[in-house]
Amino acid sequence: MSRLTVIAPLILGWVILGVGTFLSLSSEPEVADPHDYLPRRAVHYDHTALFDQPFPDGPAVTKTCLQCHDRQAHEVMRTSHWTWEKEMADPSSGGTLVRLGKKNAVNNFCIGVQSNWPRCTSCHAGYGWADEHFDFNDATKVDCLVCHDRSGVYAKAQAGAGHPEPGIDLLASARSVGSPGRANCGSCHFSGGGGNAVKHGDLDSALLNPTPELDVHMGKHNFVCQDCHRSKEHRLRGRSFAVSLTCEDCVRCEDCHQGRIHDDDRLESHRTSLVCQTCHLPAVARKHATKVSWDWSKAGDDRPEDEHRYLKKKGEFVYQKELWPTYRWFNGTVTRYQLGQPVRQGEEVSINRPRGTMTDPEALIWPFKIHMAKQPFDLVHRTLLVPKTAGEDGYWQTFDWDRSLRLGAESNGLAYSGSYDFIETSMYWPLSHMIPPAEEALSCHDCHGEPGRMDWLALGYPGDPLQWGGRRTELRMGRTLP
Amino acid sequence: MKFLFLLALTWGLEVLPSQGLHPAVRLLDAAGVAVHVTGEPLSPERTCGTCHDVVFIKAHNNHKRLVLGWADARNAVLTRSGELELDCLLCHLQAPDVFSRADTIEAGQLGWAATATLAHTGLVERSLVGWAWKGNRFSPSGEVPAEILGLGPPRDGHCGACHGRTVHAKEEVRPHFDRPGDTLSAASGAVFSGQQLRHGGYNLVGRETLTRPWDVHAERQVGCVACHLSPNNPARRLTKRTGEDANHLLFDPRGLTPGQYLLRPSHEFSLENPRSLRRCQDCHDPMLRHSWLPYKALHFSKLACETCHIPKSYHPARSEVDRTVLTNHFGSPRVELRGVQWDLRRSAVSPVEGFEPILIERADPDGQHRLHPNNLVTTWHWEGSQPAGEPSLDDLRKVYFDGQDFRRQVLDLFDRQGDGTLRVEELTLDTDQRRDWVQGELEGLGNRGLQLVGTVEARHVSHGVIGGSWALRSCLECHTENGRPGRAMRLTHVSSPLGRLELTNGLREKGEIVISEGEAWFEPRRLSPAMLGNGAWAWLDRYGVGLLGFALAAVAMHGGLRWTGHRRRRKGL
Repeated sequence: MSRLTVIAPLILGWVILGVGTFLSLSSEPEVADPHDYLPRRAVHYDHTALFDQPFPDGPAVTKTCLQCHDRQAHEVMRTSHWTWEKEMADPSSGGTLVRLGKKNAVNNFCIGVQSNWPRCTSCHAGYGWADEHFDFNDATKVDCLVCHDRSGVYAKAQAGAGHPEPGIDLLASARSVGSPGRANCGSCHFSGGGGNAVKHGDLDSALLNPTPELDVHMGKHNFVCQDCHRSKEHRLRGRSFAVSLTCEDCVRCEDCHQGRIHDDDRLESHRTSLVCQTCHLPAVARKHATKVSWDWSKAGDDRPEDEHRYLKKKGEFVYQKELWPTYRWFNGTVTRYQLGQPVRQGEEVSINRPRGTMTDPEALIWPFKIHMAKQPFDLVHRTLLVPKTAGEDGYWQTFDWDRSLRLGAESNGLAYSGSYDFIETSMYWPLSHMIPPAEEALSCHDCHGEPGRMDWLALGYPGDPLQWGGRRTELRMGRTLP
Repeated sequence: MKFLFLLALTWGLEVLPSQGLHPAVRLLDAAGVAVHVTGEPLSPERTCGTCHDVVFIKAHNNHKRLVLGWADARNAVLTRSGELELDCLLCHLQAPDVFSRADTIEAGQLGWAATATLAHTGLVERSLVGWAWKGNRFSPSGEVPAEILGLGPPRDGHCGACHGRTVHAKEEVRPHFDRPGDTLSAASGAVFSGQQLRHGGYNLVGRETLTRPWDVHAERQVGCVACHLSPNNPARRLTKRTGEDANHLLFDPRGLTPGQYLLRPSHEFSLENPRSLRRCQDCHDPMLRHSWLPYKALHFSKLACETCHIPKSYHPARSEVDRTVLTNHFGSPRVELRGVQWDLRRSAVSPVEGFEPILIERADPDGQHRLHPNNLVTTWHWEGSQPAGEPSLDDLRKVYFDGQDFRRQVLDLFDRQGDGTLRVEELTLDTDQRRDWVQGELEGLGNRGLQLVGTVEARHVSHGVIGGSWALRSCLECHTENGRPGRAMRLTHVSSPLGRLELTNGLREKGEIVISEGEAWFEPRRLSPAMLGNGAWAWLDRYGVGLLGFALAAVAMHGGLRWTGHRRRRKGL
């Protein structure tokens, strides 16, 4: 045995012991890195050299795209960005299948698409949906540029049935195509309801170039929409509960933020009752005010106009900046008013009431923007009506409610008695965007202090759960909830 | 100025909806007759005494200042305080008007003091003779609906009105300091608020990163009365027995009924009474957390929770109180602060950097000696032999003031800048001439055997607690040569003023005063046995090196013998 055979194990032992000790002292519990779950972004392919002739119109661009991307166009045609409807099970009627979407759903902003196509379909991912005869099987009508233009020059005409503004340099736009940026999605989704920040509260043009304080994902980590709304065959994840009934394919924070999130047990325990946004979205409309109330019954007066207070075409509005959410239990399904369903005069019509209660194990407390409106309904048939507002003979030209309601009812297949009034309606908008940095999240006192944000009794608690106990654990008065 | 001063006192007394079950109250005067009939001042003792045993409450009450209110802080009515009653309303009224109360006391209308506390309720209004009752606010039977009074248990704002800064989390913590009710904040830098530091009005150094709250308990809705208990409150009894007998019992279900308690609630919130103070371990089990900490039991036997969970106080606290000089004719002493770069009282934008408390060992109720965070306050004062003790405030006033203005001689002696006014920093007995002149003046007023003494006392820092994510976690905070245990705290400049510096009894055995570069510091004694990394003990180092050498030698010898044996076996020897 050489000297080395004796000394080497000794040295090796000390080294192993030392390294082991060092590792045991320095090891921290591994926390999942949310970035690990982000999708890989596609490598940009420069299309500049592929096109050299000007395009006369949008469909001409699409025809060129189809030469290489025919499959992709048909993928788009299967998505709700194209169909504006989807077959889904209605949870409030025992799972009955219904076809619902922007195409046929009533809302309490501009009320409905049918009879108002050229204006509303300016946000359709296609060209030429001007009436009920639009051909949804024509791939050349798919508008590739609205999502893939990266030049910034492309824009759809305001009431052009989805066609681009005249004079747009379509060649420049086609040469620029690439993966969608925030401006592509934002061109429609920031302007829902007829203008910037009107509809959602948590989606507006401030997200084009936000500060980290406004949106930590986009402002600090440079996210684009499809980092969360991931796509497969052009089908983007995500649900708008304005037109959806269930949470199939919803985007969730937990898609990236997995495992134990908070170092603090108390905060972590809140996750059994709250969605992340409840604490991490203290306020929306932080840069641009959002519409919280719309009274159609006041339309038609010749009084001074202000786009945030009154317009003759649309009636009275209330806008609010720094809007605090309203909190409701939500199990991912909604009870939705569908055209033709009866309403009760004198009672508020909740167009998309979130389902779920404290005793529903699937339900969590969500933050919502609630938009209130007064909109027309038929006094005899007791149904909400969809007026024809845009276009020829629409209300915005005639200011004749009876005529516009009659035209609207014809387009929607609704019965119209000729007798109408206005009824209060509400719409719930779950809030998920504009998440600020974690330090801005709500603190205990925001909900459990006096006065707190939560209406505990309305949520079904006997009192503040800080004192009375939470839903998942045995209540301090001795009752156990599921 | 007075308005602002008193407005500051009301800070934190937020108007909140009542949630109690208190019945309507018939307000009575000292004769037991309804006040709206007689027009006489309210007697809280007669009024509350209708249902509550006031004799018991007065006998079990260590809140004597409730009688005096703010008056003693202003030195206004000390001698007449006996005319005031125990004022239950100060702590139990939803929104006591301490402004009007103090104003009434200062005006010498002591009997109306409790009535003035009701000013916010609209039951009374000022009159020429004192206060007048508004009869229309009373029910036909002479009762006041409970919702007008909002009677209930004290909220943080009630306690904060006398004890320190308690600020509702939705209010802004604004910079002001050393008001009469700031005793706890002034002594230890405590601010009891759930607000994040960065949101307050203080110009904190690096404030944008300070997302921690002033106090995690305040943030989490654990109010003052959750820890400072009424000892006989059955709803807030400590679950574990404090155990005089039957030690096998974890909980004794026998106790007062709520009705019995409401009749005779104890108001002894003494820190020495273990039944009236909930300590960290009464709610938290540190062994269940701190998984990252090696030698948990050892650490918890040597360190108080506050040592790591109050690593820094971001509110300035007193470092010196100089009672040998007066800064105004009210008798305010010169006060120096630690934790602020300039003078917070003069400039709201003074950069506040806070201070690290000094760690001093003290005995806990379980008998274990642990390191606790403290602030050290040096109080300078004259100590005389005849009469014994400190010269009276009146004597000091005579030395420094002629009416409301400084005496000519004082200006000549202290006005260094020669601008005809005296700044606080100029008012110090830092030369023999000044000290001797003031001493001579005091002796001229009959004070004998005067000595200028600075007494250093430790003020425990127990509020301003933060959660684990902000607490000390790095081993190097303590286990280094200049780690927190043993780290000295600056006391004062040695010549400001010229006097003898001495430690109070509790501090004398904990460390010593050292002078370094013209400044006096308190240096705590090193812990025994020595702490790893903190403090170099030569014998221990030698012992360690010796042990290592011995171990290496033994290993070498063992290896050598085996090698030799192996060689001998190979050679067949």
